[in-house]
Amino acid sequence: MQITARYYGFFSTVTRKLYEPMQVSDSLTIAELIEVLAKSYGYKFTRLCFIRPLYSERDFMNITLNHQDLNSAGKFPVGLQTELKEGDLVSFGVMGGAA
Amino acid sequence: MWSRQIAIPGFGEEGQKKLKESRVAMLGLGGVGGPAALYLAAAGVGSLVLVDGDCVQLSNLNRQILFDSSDLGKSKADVAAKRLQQLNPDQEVEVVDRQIEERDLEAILAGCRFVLDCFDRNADRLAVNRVCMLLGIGAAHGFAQDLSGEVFTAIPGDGSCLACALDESFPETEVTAVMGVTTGMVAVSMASAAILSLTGIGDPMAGYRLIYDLAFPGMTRVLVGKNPRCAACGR
Repeated sequence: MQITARYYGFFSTVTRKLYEPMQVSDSLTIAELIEVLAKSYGYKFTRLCFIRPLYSERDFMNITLNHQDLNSAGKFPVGLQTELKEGDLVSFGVMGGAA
Repeated sequence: MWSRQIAIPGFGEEGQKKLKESRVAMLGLGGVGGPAALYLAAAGVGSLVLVDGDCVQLSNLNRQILFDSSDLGKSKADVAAKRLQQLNPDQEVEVVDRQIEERDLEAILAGCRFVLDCFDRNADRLAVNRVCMLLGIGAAHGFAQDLSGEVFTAIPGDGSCLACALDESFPETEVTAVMGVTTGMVAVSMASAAILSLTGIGDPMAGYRLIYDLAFPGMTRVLVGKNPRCAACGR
């Protein structure tokens, strides 16, 4: 199936792409997608996915699925284990950039 | 001048009066700060503090629509003050056309009811956040890159602040690739946050990351939990 990975801000600096269509296996999870992308773009990609303030103990994912926050337990009760579907848009964005 | 917005249900003469009585600081007058200042001047905000130590350069003009080619080499803050007063002659404008440091902020922001943080670096944004939390002033912080942008509004006593969301360990870019429509979109969102906060109409969604995507159009709200040990707002 085809999905699109979208890279905001610093992610586009790491990948040198704004987005990329990807052919992936059916029911690939977001966690597995991150592993696939980390093979292409390295550990820095994975680090950016989960970067949060150093003194914060809470988990945080800088990831959205079809413009919905993956951190929302109500929308995504299994979080990173959410299985992707044909046509999904997975966006990666860490706070930062110019003004 | 403001009849079309006074006609908005729930805004009215009372909302206009609140804007007229408000003082707002614009920290940075680039691709985000310039357009945001235009919207606030047009909306009738009574007093603006314009802070920018840079001069207009050719590479600014793809997004900094407050300026044109006749302004190259001139002080951004001075040019902005002139343009904004042409738009709204009743408005008071204070110009700070020098580079500032954190120790300057308390004096500059004194008396302001809202701050638009249009600085480029996270370290500067965090300094603005610290002072705003200390003074009890709401602020909208803007971020823009390529075809995506983000706005985070922090209201003291209402959810998380910027330091709950990021710190100095987050990456910085030296030169940011960006389209003018992106900074314009962030500017509109920040100016809107100021108007909502100043007038009490609507909800500026304090404590949420508002992430805007122009390449695959959509907006995402991401709640940032308040950090009880946050050095800026946790006390």
